[in-house]
Amino acid sequence: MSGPILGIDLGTTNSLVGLVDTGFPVLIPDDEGRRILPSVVHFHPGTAPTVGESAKRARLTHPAEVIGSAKRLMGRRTADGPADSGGWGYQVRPGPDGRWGIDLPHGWTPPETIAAAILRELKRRAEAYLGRDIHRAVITVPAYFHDAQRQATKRAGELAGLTVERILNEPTAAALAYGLSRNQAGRYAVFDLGGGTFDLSILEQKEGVFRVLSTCGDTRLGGDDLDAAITEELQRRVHAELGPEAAIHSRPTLRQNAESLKIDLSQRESVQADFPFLWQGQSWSTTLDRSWLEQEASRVFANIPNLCRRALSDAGVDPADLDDVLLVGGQTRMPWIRTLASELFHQEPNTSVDPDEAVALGATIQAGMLEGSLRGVVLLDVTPLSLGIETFGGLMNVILPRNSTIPCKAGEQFTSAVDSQPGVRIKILQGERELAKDNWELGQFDLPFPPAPRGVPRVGVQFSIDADGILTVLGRDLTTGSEQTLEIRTAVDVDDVQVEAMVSQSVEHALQDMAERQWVEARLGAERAITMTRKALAILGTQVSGPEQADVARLLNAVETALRTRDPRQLKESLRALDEGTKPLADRLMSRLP
Amino acid sequence: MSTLPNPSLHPDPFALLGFEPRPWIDPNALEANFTTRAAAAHPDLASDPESKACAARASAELTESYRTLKKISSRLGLLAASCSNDSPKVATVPEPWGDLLMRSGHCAQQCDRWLTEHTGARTTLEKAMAAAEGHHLLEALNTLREEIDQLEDGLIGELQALDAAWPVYTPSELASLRQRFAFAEKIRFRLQERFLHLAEVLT
Repeated sequence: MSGPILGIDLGTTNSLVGLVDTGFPVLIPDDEGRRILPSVVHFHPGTAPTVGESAKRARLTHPAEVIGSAKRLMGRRTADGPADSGGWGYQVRPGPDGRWGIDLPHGWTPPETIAAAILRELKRRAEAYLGRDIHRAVITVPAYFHDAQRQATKRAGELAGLTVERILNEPTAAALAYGLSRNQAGRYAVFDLGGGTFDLSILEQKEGVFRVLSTCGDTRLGGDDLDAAITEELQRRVHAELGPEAAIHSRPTLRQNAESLKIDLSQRESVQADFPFLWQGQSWSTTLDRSWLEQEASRVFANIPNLCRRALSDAGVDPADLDDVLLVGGQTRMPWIRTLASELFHQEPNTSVDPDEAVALGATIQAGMLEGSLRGVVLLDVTPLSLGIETFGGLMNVILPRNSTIPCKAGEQFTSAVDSQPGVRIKILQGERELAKDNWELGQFDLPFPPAPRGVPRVGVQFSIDADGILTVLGRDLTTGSEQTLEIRTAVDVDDVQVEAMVSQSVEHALQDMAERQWVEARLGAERAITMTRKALAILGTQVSGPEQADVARLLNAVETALRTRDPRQLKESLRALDEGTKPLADRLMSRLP
Repeated sequence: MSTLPNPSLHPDPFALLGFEPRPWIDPNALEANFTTRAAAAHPDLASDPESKACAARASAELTESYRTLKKISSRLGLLAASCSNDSPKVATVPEPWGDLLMRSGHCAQQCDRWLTEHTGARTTLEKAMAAAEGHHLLEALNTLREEIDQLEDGLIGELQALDAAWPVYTPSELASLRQRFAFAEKIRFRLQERFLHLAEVLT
C-alpha cells in the first residue's frame, strides 16, 4: 500500500496530527487554526459522536456521555487492578471480556472505540487539508506501554480505517523532532510528563542514527493526577463551607476548573478561584497557593526521581554525560517540574521544543521516513520491559531483557518431563520482578510435543519483538524442523461466560471475606507495630527515660487489649495513640542516621 | 592447547559485528559497530514487505549477537564452543568468588526481607526503624559493589592477557575466566537491582 502516512500523537489530554508536505513536516490545524485537538469524545445517543473542544464543553451538561482520558484504560484488564475515569463523570466498568471499558448510555464501550473516534477526527482533518483519502498512520504511545496497550492502540487505528505503519514511542518521537532541528552528535534525556503518563528515555544521536539506550516510566502517572488533587482540595473546602451536599454536586464544576487553575499557578504565586452560583444560587470563591500545589506535586510525582535513576543506571550514563535534557508534555510547563528535572540531571533543562507539539512532529518525521519522503535518518528504539516466561517455582525467567534494541529475538528450548507428554503450557510475562505473579501476564500458549519418551522431544521457541514493540512467538520442532506460529491467548480471549462467572464469584466472595480480611490485615499491622516499638526501645536503651518507657508500655498495652477484644475501632484508636506517642522515639532514631 | 575458532558457526556474532573472534573487544568499538550495522539493517529502510521482513530478521540477529558479545561470559562461551569439543568443567568455585557469592546472596535476601517487611510500615516509629536498617543495608550493598568493581578490574586484566597470547590458550584457563565473569555479572545484577529498590524506598 502507498500514499501519504500521517504522524499522530494520540495523547491522554490532547491529540495532534501531521504529515510531510513537499519535504517538510507540518502539523495540521482545524478550521479555526487550532492544531491541538482535546482527546475528548461526546457520544450523543442516536447521532455521530463529536470530538474535541465542543465535546469538552458538553462535560458539565452531559457528564456520563463525555469521555476524556480514555487512554488510561487502553489495554488494561480487570486482572491488572482497579481503574477509574481519572476524575471524569463517566462510569468505568469491566467488559464481558475482562477488560476495562466505559459505561455509555448505549452500552459498554471499550477504550479503543473512544480512541478510534479521536483518530477518525484527525484523519478527517488531514484529508480535508490534503484533498485526498488517507489510509496509513504512525501513532505514538508512551514508551512504557506494554504489549496489550500497544495492540489496543493498533486496533484503535484499524477501527478508524488506518493501517498503523508504526507504533512509535513518544519520547523517541520528541527526540527525533528536536535532534533533527539541531543535527549534532550527542546524548540526551527526554523527560516526558503528559496528562496521564510519564516516560524518561536516554538517547544517543550520531550521523542520522537515533539510538535509544534506555527507557523507564509509569503509564498511570501524569498531570491528570494533579488535577484530581486540586479537585479533592476544592471539594474538601466546599464541604467545610457549604456542606456535604454542595460538595457532591459541585464536583464536576470543580473538576472542570482544576486544570486551568493548575495552569494559572505556573504563572502566578496564588490564584483566586471564583465559582458563580455554585450551589443553590450561592457563589463561592477560594484561593490556591503555588506552595500548596508544589507540596501536592511532590506527593503525586514522588516516584519520578526513582524512574529517572533507573533509566540512567540502565543506560550506564551519568547526568554529567548528558548534553541536554528535553522537556516534553504539557505538565513540564510547571516550574516545580522544571526545577525537579534540573536537580535530577544537574543541568538546566532545554525548553526550546514546544512541549505540546514535539511528539506529533516526531511522529510526522517518522511517517516521512517510512513513506520515503525523508531520508538519512534511522531510529533504533528499545523494548521497555523485560520479556520472560514462568518457570518452576513461580519464578520469572528473563528471555529478552528490558532495553534490548528492537527488532530483537531470542530462543529457548523445551523438552518433556514425563514419557509421552503431549505438550507444555507456557506463560509469557512482561516486567522486572523476580516472582512471576508480580509481573504483567501477557498471555499463554500451548507447545505441543511429538509422542516420545521424556527428555527426547526438543522444541525450540523463538520470541520476537518487532519494531512496534509487539511480540510474536514461533515454535520449531528441532528434530523435524517444522515451524509454526504459536497463538498467544490473553485474558481478553478467555470465554465470556467463564469470565462473567469469575467476576460474579469474586464479587460474592469478596463481600463475605471483606470484614474478615480487613481485621486480619489490621491485626498483622498492629502486631508488627508492637514488635517494632519493642525493638526501637531496645536499640535506644538509656536514651529513653523511665517515665517515657512507662508511657510507651501503657500504649502498647492498649493495642494488645484491643487485639484481644477484636474491636476494629478500638484497635485503630490505640494504634493512632501509639503512633503519636512514639514520635519522639522516631525522631531520636532518625537523628542517628548518616 | 587448542586451534582457532571454527568460523562456520552461523550466524557468527563476531563476524556479524565486524570483529575477529578474540576474547577482548573494545567496548566503544562494540557500541559503534552495533549502532552502524543495526541502523543500516533497520526494516524502516526497506520499501516492500518482503525486504522488510528480511531486514527485521537481520536486525534481530544483530541485536542478539550484540547481547552475546557484550556479556563477556557469553562471549567467552562462544569462543570455547567454537574452539574445542571438550569444554572442561570447572568444578569448584574459586575464592574469593564463593565467599562473595555467599555474602551477596545473604545481603540480597536481607534486602528482600526488608522490602517486604517495611513497605507496609505505618507508624512514624516503624518508618524510622525501617530507615535505620535500610541505610545499613545500603552501606553493605555499596561495600559489596566496590569489592566487585575491584575484582572485575582484575578479570579485565586477565582477559586482555588472554587476548595478547591469542590464539594460543589453555581451555581450562578460558573456562575458568568465563566462569568468574559469569559470577561477576550475576552478582552485579543482583546487587544493582536491590540497590535501586532500596534507594527508591528510602528516598
